[in-house]
Amino acid sequence: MTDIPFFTIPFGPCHPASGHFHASVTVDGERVVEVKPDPGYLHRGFEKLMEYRTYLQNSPLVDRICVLDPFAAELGYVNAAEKVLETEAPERGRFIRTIMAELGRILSHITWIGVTSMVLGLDSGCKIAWGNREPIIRINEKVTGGRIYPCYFIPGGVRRDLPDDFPEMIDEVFDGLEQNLEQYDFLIFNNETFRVRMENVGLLEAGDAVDLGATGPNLRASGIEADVRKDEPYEVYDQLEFNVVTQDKGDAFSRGMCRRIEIEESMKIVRDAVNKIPGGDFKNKAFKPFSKAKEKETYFCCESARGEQCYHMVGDGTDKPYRVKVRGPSFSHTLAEFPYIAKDAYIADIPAIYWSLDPCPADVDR
Amino acid sequence: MVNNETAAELASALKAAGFNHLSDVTVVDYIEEEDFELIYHLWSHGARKRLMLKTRIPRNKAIMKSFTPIWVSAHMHERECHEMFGIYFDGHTDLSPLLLEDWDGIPPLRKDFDSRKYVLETFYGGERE
Repeated sequence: MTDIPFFTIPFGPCHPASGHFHASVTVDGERVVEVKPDPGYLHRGFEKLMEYRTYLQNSPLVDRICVLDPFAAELGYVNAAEKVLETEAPERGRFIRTIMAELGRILSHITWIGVTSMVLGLDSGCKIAWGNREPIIRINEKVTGGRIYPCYFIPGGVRRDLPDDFPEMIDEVFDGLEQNLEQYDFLIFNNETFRVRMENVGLLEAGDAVDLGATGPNLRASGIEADVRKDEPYEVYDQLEFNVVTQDKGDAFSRGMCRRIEIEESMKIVRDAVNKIPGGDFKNKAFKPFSKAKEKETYFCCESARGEQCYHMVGDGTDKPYRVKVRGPSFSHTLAEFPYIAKDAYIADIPAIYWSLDPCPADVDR
Repeated sequence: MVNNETAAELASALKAAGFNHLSDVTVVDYIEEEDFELIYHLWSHGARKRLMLKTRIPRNKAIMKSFTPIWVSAHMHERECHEMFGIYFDGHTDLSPLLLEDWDGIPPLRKDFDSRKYVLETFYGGERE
């Protein structure tokens, strides 16, 4: 066998499971010897573009950082911008932002369930999950005007108030979602084929996960209780009841289970927030489109569906930021953890391993 | 803010003190002061504390010691900083291009790279307002 040379196979950027991401996978027979990530297919230069735009203009721009979880990208951005602009959102605005960010997380996790079942060959799981996203997307549309890209959060609050029938909409959609979750358990998470493909695949020990910069569900699946919402509470998370979901095995299935249980936790947060939401203003009228920032800098992190979404923002006294650095959670997941855990795996497990990390090539490249 | 020559020692001490997660590395180009500011964003999973480690290096001699021996996750962050700002990280094993393709201009996130002018010249023949 040894006289057969190693073979290099491209994984992506046109592979159905890769997204806009390419990695060179070197194999020795069925075994993966090395994975070399090659990102950049979605590099749009947001950090540079943001230096040319005002704080308000940047708000719709950051949506595009990750199409699957735009609310978290906006939430991190507006909080960082509020720090350098020295403005604050009113209580109602912060509740609305929390609710919408959690709906975004649910949406992202359902997408993950869909894509993962698709790459494992369970196409019906994908179709069902895609269909189940629709009611939540309709809430997005009704509240924000946008189905996928909401452009909803602005420094100092949100663009417009929630509709009057919002609590009823949530009740109706969540009743349906609870049934969907039972269906996912039956069809996907308790499906023997799914479990065989995901269990004991792509093991990531807790120590390695920390060293490689893992955050979010990928870190929590390795047994580390780390969640920005609990560790450094922002918006109104300190007033809401929820648990940090952890698993202890660190394999692909644990990472999936983490996301599956987090959907329920997010539903709990949304229900709690809808009950506690106060009246009053939803935005701070002191913020104007050309408000000038102070000469200060901040580093703000929020918990997106994938992990730590951070913004380092430097204000220079003008109405445009001097420098914005975006930390997308998938950056370390895709470029550091994926090559590490894919090494020595079977070539057929690569899509399962890759998607168990829930990567978003858009937030790797920015 | 620490001296760039002693930054590595301090970084090792911080790692030993429990700051085990390197969240991000930011470079800010202070062109008027002719400096690059490097900011290492650290997080301690044990103490649940965040910390910024800042250092400055001159723009005309942009060399910094690589922190990859201290934090493995610094590898890709430093590679990106090299590509976007042209900073050379001493001791880094692979500073090949990461996100850009066939780029031979000045590193694009430097303040002296004007992306609007570049777009105008490259795609509009420099004519549009």
